[in-house]
Parts: sequence; structure tokens; C-alpha cells
Amino acid sequence: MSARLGAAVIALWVALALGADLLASDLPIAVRVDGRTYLAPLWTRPAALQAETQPGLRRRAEWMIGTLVEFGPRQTLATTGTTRTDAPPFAPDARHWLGSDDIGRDVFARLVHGARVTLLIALGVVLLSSLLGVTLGALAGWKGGVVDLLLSRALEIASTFPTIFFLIVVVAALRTPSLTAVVLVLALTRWPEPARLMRAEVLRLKGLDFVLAARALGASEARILVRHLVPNALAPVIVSSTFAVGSAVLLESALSFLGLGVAPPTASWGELLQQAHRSLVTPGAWWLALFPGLAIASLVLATQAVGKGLERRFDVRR
Amino acid sequence: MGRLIATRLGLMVPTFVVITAITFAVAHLAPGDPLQLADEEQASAAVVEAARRELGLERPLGQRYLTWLGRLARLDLGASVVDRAPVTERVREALPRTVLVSGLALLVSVLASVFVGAQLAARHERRWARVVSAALTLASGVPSFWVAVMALLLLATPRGVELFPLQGLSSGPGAGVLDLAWHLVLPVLCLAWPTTAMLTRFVRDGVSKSLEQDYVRAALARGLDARRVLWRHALPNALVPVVTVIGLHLPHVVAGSVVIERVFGVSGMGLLAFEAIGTRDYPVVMGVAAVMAAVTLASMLVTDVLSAFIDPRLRLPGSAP
Amino acid sequence: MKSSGALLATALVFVACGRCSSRSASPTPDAAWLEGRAVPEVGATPRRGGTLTVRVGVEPSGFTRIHDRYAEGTMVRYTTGTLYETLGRVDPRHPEGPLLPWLASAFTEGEALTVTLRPGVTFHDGSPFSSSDVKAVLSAITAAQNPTVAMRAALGELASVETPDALTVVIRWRAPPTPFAVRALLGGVPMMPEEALAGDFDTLPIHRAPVGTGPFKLSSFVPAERLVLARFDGHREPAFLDGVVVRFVKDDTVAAQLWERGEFDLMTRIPPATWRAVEQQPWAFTGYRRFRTDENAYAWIGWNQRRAVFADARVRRALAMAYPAEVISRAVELGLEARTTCPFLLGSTSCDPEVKPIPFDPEGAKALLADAGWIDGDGDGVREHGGQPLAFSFLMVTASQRQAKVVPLFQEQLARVGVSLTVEPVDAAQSIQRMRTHDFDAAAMSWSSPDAVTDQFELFHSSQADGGKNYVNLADPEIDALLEQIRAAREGDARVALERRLHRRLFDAQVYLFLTARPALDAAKRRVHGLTPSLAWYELAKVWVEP
Repeated sequence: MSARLGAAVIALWVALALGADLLASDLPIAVRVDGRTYLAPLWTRPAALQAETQPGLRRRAEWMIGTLVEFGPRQTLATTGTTRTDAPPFAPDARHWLGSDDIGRDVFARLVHGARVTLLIALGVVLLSSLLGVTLGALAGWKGGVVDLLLSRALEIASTFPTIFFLIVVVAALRTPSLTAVVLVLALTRWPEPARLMRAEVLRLKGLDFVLAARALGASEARILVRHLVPNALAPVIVSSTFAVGSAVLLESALSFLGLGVAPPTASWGELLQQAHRSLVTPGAWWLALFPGLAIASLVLATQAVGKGLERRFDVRR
Repeated sequence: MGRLIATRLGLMVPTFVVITAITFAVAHLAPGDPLQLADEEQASAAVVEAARRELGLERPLGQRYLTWLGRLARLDLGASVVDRAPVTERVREALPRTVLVSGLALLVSVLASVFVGAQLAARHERRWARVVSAALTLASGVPSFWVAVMALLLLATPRGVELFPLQGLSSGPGAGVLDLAWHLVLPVLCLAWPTTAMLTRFVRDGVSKSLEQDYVRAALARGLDARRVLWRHALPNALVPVVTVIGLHLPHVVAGSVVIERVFGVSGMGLLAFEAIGTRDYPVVMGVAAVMAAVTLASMLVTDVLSAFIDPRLRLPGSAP
Repeated sequence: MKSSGALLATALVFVACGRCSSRSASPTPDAAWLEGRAVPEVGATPRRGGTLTVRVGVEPSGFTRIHDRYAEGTMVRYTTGTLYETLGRVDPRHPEGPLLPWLASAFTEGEALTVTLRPGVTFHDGSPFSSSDVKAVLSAITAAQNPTVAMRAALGELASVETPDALTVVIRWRAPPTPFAVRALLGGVPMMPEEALAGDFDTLPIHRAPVGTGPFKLSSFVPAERLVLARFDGHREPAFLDGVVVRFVKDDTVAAQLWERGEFDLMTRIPPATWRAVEQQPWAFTGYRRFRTDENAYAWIGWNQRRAVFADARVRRALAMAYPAEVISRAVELGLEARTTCPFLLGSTSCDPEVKPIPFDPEGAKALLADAGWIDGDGDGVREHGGQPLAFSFLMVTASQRQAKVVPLFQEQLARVGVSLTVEPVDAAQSIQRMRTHDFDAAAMSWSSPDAVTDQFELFHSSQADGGKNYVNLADPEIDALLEQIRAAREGDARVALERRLHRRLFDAQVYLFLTARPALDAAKRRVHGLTPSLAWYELAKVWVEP
């Protein structure tokens, strides 16, 4: 996959995630019904439409602008208006393009809304861990001495100690695995890499002429670090963070698979895969495993492609 | 060299204490406690209180940690809260399984990645090399547990081909080595999968880099056999970082992959830890944590010593590796 | 029963066809298979030998039922009856009737309970079973320092256990015992040798290496893997099987796959989805028989009475009206479970037949909530009353596949009537701790019992809120009084009448939203015979297999 294609895939997923409400929702984008016009009821959620669904409204409304898929991610077979009498999961058909899960929820709706959660987690983890890692790494590289010794030690341990064990213990200790909690926990396991990169870069740069020049000009320590060193040392961190988006997606799916992910009924890609595993008893429910699997793979590969491209652009050897 | 080892060993003890103390604190902050699960439907407050006292659950956390540490010094990891089996026994049962599965997986990854990686670097212009490279990229993008579940579905159930067993490492008491090997195939391959994808690219990039070095070009210019140059000159240099990666990967060999152990029903260290946390069986959680901390530190020491052995510059104290 | 020729022919067709499923004239499942009905076997002669491999989904951490730590209800059935025996046993044909003698040859209740033991019974280690063993077991239970609180509470306060001779035991209580206490003593206390109980009770070897009088004895136990039992030849009615292999497979999906590979002779606890999925599959209906057996088990949702939102009975009734029972039956239970409203065995005379489940009625629920003063004044979709929103959290056990489906279905309907349910995922350890300490709003659970006669005191009496199993904190004077009267009543019509009143009163209170009675869904290879399902599981001693 070329970097350009990778960027396109990422952009597509971001667009799908941002527009998830417009793509799949239980209420329409705009509707005129019972003599009233509702704009964006899918966000305003007016009380009068509380128990309505899009197929139901379409029959009664004067006009209606519906979403692409007429189901929300939490709508079960009780409200999707299905006429089937057999038990879900339902295979892909004209109603449910990517099939439905074991309580009749639309897989497409869950996939695009899940993209939102998964991307949010991945981005949150990468940003938070990079921030933490860059700060600590820059400090250690700049200060040297005891600070550096302590941090190097912590770095070694944190990157060697098995992540998944740590994750399980921490998640079990939390009362409920909220989105923020999952982001925090995952970020705690990924900070060593940006820290290591930052420290190495700062160590390399701090002896260079421009730093000496800045110092000679009387710039303060903090100013040199923040204005001169860190910006010049960021390239490897940016490259590694791009790759990290992909691994955060994989890690989130592994956590959800163990039942330690974001609380249900919120959809995330890992949760969708976990459900696929649960539904293995239904022979041939391939759509439950295939589509989230493809989604994860496409996103991870795209981030790797973009990472590679950035690596070449910045001429960074990892 | 001796000084390096001595310093490292001296640092190990406080590091071990820090790791286990953090794990101890986090694990004990988890809501729920073991006595309330062990007797799911029938215990009364009286018995829970009595048992809590017996386990010392009402004492302050720090004091409990010190007690634990004191016992550990006498190599006593305590007994499981759930079934009263000694934790050392539990670890002794689980550790060999994990080491077998994860160790074999690591071995497979290393052998496969060194061989394939070197070949890819040497013949990067061939079509098959591009296909393999693309496949490796693809492999690193797919969650390994997804692969594991699919492999089971396709290769171990009557719905696919019934080639491999579904669960565990043995068909029953008295099963032989062949039976064990047969059980090991899928878990080892699924566990080796992501590591192989990563290491192969690592080796490939390393070897291609050293193939561009002057000494390699010189060797080739002198008319040495290209194959010999690849294996005897270019590869060894590219392997130095690989050794570090393997060293840092050792703790994972011991931790096992919880996910893979869960999918394949291998009751190793990962699953032991996972289930112990689920039942709030603190002595077992801490036993696993202690073993893992020890292995982490030992592998760091080994990596350091090996790196210093390979690269003499690192033997100087105070220099940054 | 099919003739062996037809079976062979079917098998040959199957082998020839391979895995290509139904291409040629495919066989069709019979009615007994579809219904999961046990067909009485006639004319077959039991054969000695062979082993039976059983899938079991829960694993014991010890085998002594009297120890609090090992008293898990679900495990009891696999050990009692095979490894251990009790003085009396539940009559499989009349589970609500009096107990039948088992290790006792007779018991008479008068001023004291006099038990006459069956002569000639020996333990697995060869020592004879006598009255001193009964006394030793009862002493271990009643010793205040032992972790046997649950059993001690069930037996009531014993005054004395006398052994006038080797085969007679006379048991006296401090106060006249409840019928439940007598039943617990006779039918619930496994008999162990006196010598095995000497020493520190908590660390006795017998907890891990059971020695009983049952038809099977322990051969080996590999934790997380298997339990191997061998026939006890010294039993008065030796079993047909040489041995039983219990394989512990917790994961239902994995168990289903192993089952499909033919690794179990007896597959237990089949999830409804698998039960339906294999219905039309030839490998299943040609190779196996299915048993769908009523158990004394029911699922419920409890509303914590310490929470102000659940204080009003009308609110609780409205929540029940928003429970989409039909959709859940179709999507989750797959039509295999019957709705219940009663804490007693489904169809028992103790249930008031007049009480019917509350039908799904969202409009009715809205009206009832409005009537109770809960109105959505601020238009945010959630009703309020006195400044408090009608919102609560629901403890969902992450490992439960059933709750993963039921909770979102219920949540969706509640939202439509203006009630906000937030899911709080917890693991099993946390869920039970939080229910016990009343640190929850709403939660789902199920109760089960191997006996049809159950004492509801511990579940619903106000005194049992702390320390007992009254997790929802029910405190209703009328229910308290009924429970006390039931304990004092003898078996018979008077007690049945009281129990019916209790059922009606519990239903009116709606502190529990009673869901369904859960049947046991099992399947056995057609070569396995003599399986008679009952509340107390199968009698493995009567099981035999074709070669």
C-alpha cells in the first residue's frame, strides 16, 4: 500500500467516523410529520419522536431526508421493524447490508459508529503517550545525571514488562472501563517509545552548534529545550506515533476480546470481533467476523503505509 | 565487564521491589475480594469476616506488601485463596506450558525471520520477494486472535478440515510427544505470526543496509561468492539489533499471550494470571507478577551483557546505550 | 429405538457422503430429538464396562460440600450421587414429596430424628460406614470454628447426636426443627469417614481427595482439565461403567466445537443458540439424543430497595411492563425457556396458578409512570420526579453471554418509555460482592436448587438483608410473617396454601422481575443408555454404554 493510498484510507475512516450519525441512525436527518418540521432530530432527539424509527416515520411523514442506513447502532430487532420470525444473526441482505448481530443490530451501523470509538481511542492513546513520552524523554536527555538514570531505568522496565499483564491488572482495578479509562491505560503502556526516541534525539542535538549559539545568546534553559530542541527532535516521534495508531487499534481489539474494553452497548471494532467469537456457535455467521476484521486490517495497514512514507520523507531510521 | 554485571545486579533488587509493589497496589485496589466469590451463593457475613482476618485483608496495604515480600525471601508465594493449592505449585504447572508454546513460537519466528529476511534483502527485486514483503505487511495488520479464531474454525472443526485439536496441549493422560507436537502447531504458529512479521522486516532492513556497506561491496568486488557474503558478512552485522529485540521479548515468552492461551485453552501463565485476577486470587496474581518481574530483570541483564560483549563501547560506565 | 442395521446404514451413508451434508435423501430428525424428550428405553440389557466422557462447564475448587468454600450449588450435583451419598435422597418421580431412604434404611421423626443406617455399606477406602461417621460429619459441621456456616445455618441448632449402636443415630434439636432443616440434614449432608475428618478442618486432604460411599471413586484430578472417576466395586449396587471422565470446558463455544468433534459422550449445558443450531444437522440427530429437562432454576432481575427510584411499586411494575419478554424469548432464549413468576419449581403446586406474567406493554408502562408522578418535564427523554431522574445503573457480568444480549434489548425499551439504564460491566467477583453489600441499583441473577423443596426465608426475609441472600433488601412485614409461618408449618396442604400466598405477595411487590425458568439442555451419544434426567442430574450408576 502506498503512503498516498494509506492516507486516503485513513481519511475515509475518519470521514465515516465523523459522519457516522448521518450514515446510520434511528432518526432521520430532517422530517416533516404531524404538521411539524424537525431538523436534525438525530441530534436534537425531540421527545415527540422518542419512540419513532425511520421506517415508521417514512410511512407517515410528508417528506423526510433519511440517513443512508435507517438503523442506529443500538437498535435491536425489537425496533428495526424486521418481519423475520427466525432468530438473529441475519445474513447480509437488502435491509442489513453487512448483516445483523445476534440481537438484530445492524453491523454496518455498528461498524461506522464503532470506527468513531476505535479511532478516538487510538488517537487519544497516541497523543497522550506521545505527550508524556516527549516530555519525559526531553527532560532526561537535557538534564542528564540522576534524572536520566532514573528515566532510563523506568524506560527499560516499562518496555520489557509484559504489557498485557499490566493492562489486565489495571482494567480489573477500575470500576468501569470507560472510554477515558481505556485511553489512559493504553497510553500508560506506550509512553516508553516516544520517550526513548526523544531522549536520543535531544542527546544528539544538545551538543550541536545551534544550541550552543542559543545558549551564548543568553536563552534560558527552558526556552532552548522547548523552542529549539524539541521541535527539531520531533520527526522520529511523529513517525513512530503513526505506526502506533495501528498498534493501538490492535491492542484495543485484544482488550475488548478479553471483555476488558469499553462498556457495552457502545460499539467498537474490538467489541464487534468479540461478538463474532461469541456467535461462532451459529454456523456460518461469517459476516460478523469478516467485516470488523477487514476494517481493523485496513486501518492498521494504512497507518503503516503512511508511517513508511513519513519515515522516508523525514529520512528517519527507526 | 564484571563491574557492569555487579552494578546491574545491585540495581535489580530495588527495581524488583518497585515493580512488585506497583502490581501489588494496583491488584489490591481492584474492587471485590476473593472470599465473596469462592462461596458464590452460601457464605454468611460471619464466615467472610473470619476468612478475611485469616488472610489479613483488613491490615494496611503497605504492611501486607511487606509480609508478602518477607515470605518471598523464603521462596514462599503463599497459597491460592480459591482452592488452597500452593502458588508455587500453580506456577510450576503453568510455567512449562507457556515456556514451551511461547519459546517455540519465538524460535520459529527467529529462524523464519532470519532466513526469510536475509533472502528478501538479497533478492528484493524478485517478484516473489515483493509478494512476501506485501504478505508480511498484511500479516502485521491482522489481529492475531482473529487469525487464531479463524484457524480453529477452518482447521480444527468439522465445518472446515478437522486437522488439528481444538484445545489444550494433550489428548489425555499418557499421550506421547507426537500428540503434544500436534497440539502445539496452531498455538505456536498463531503466536509466532506477529513476531515473525516484525522481525523479518527488521532483519530485511538490517541486511539491506549492510549490503550497501563498503566492506560488503569490497568483498563482492574481490569476487567472493555472493551467497557467502550474504550469510557470513552481511547477516551477522544485521543481527546485533535482533539479539536486543529477542532479549527484550523474553519476558513475553514467560507471560505468554493471554489471548492466544485463552483461544487455544492452554492453561499457561497468561491464563493463570487472567483467571486469578477475575477471581481476585491475590496470592496467585502476585506469584505470577513476581516470576514475570524476575524474568524481566534477568533478560535485561542478559541483553546488557550480550550487547556489551558485542559492542565494547557499551562497557564504559555512564555512557548511554 | 432404531435397529442396529439401520444405524449402521446411516453411518455408512454418512461416511460415504463425508462432510458434504445433505445432498442425497437426507435423514430427518425425529420428534423426540426436536423436543428434547427422553424416550423410555425398553428391552435393552445393560452391559458392564466402558467409560463415559462428560463435559462440565464449572470446575470445583474442592469436593467437600460442607465446607463453605466448596459449597457451590452447581457443582454439588456432579459430586453428590457419584462420589458421595446422603442419608436420604429426593424421589426422582415426586421431587416435592418426602425423601427416600438411601444410606439410611429408615428414618422416623418424633421427638427426635431417629435414623437407622443401611448395614454393610463401606467407604472407598474399605472401612465400614457406621453411626460414628454420621456423628463425626455432623460434629464437623456444628463446630463453631469450622468454615461450615452455610450448612450449619441450614441444619438449625442441633442439641445432641447420639449413637446407641453402630447402625442407629438419634438427633435432637434445641427447638422443634423446621421441615427444611430435617430435609437438609437427611438429603444434603454427604457422609465421610470419621478418620478423614480428624485434624485442622480447613486443610483436610479429603477436600481435594474425596472418600465417600458413592458408586464411583476418585481416580485422578487435573485442575482446569479433567476429573477421572473409577467404579467403586465395593458398592452395594455396582455401577455398569468402568469409569467416568469429567472434562472441564468453561467456554461454551469451545465446548460446542469439541462436542461436534465427538469428544463428549454426554454434553451438558448446551446454550440455546447451539441447541437450535444443531437441530437440523445430521451429525447431531443421528449420533445423539437430546434432553431438555426442567430444573429448579429461575432467572430474575432485582431492584435494590435502598434506591429511591425503586421505592414505588408502580415504578417497579412499569419497569416489568417494559421488559420485552417475547423478543428476548425469540432472540436469546430461542423459545426454550418458559416464563415464570414464582420462586418455586415451575408448575409446582406451591405456585398460585392465578398469577400470570406481566405482558409487554410500553404504553401501559408510560401511563403508570405518569400516574406515579414521573414525567419528562425538561424534554431530555428521561422522566423525573421531585428533581430526580428515572435513571439507574445495571450490573452486567461481562462473562455472561445471556446478559450481553438481554441488557441491550431491555435498555432500548426502557429508553422508549423514558427510563435511562446505564450498563455497568463488572466481573463475576465484583458483581457478587456488590450485590451482597447492596452496592448496586439493578442486577440480574439466577437461583437454582437440586431439590424441589426450597426454603425462601434466606432470600426474602428482612432479617436476611445483611449476611443472607436478600440482596434486594426487601423488607415487607407481610412477606416476613408468611416466611415465618412457612418455616413452622409441616409438609402438606397448609404449607402449600401459605407458599401460594407468598408467591402472590412477591409478585405484587415486584421487587424481583421474575424472568424464566431455565431448563437443562443436554445431549448424549445414542450408544449411551440409562440416562434418566432428574432435578438432581443423572444417576450415573445406572448408565451403561454400548461397545
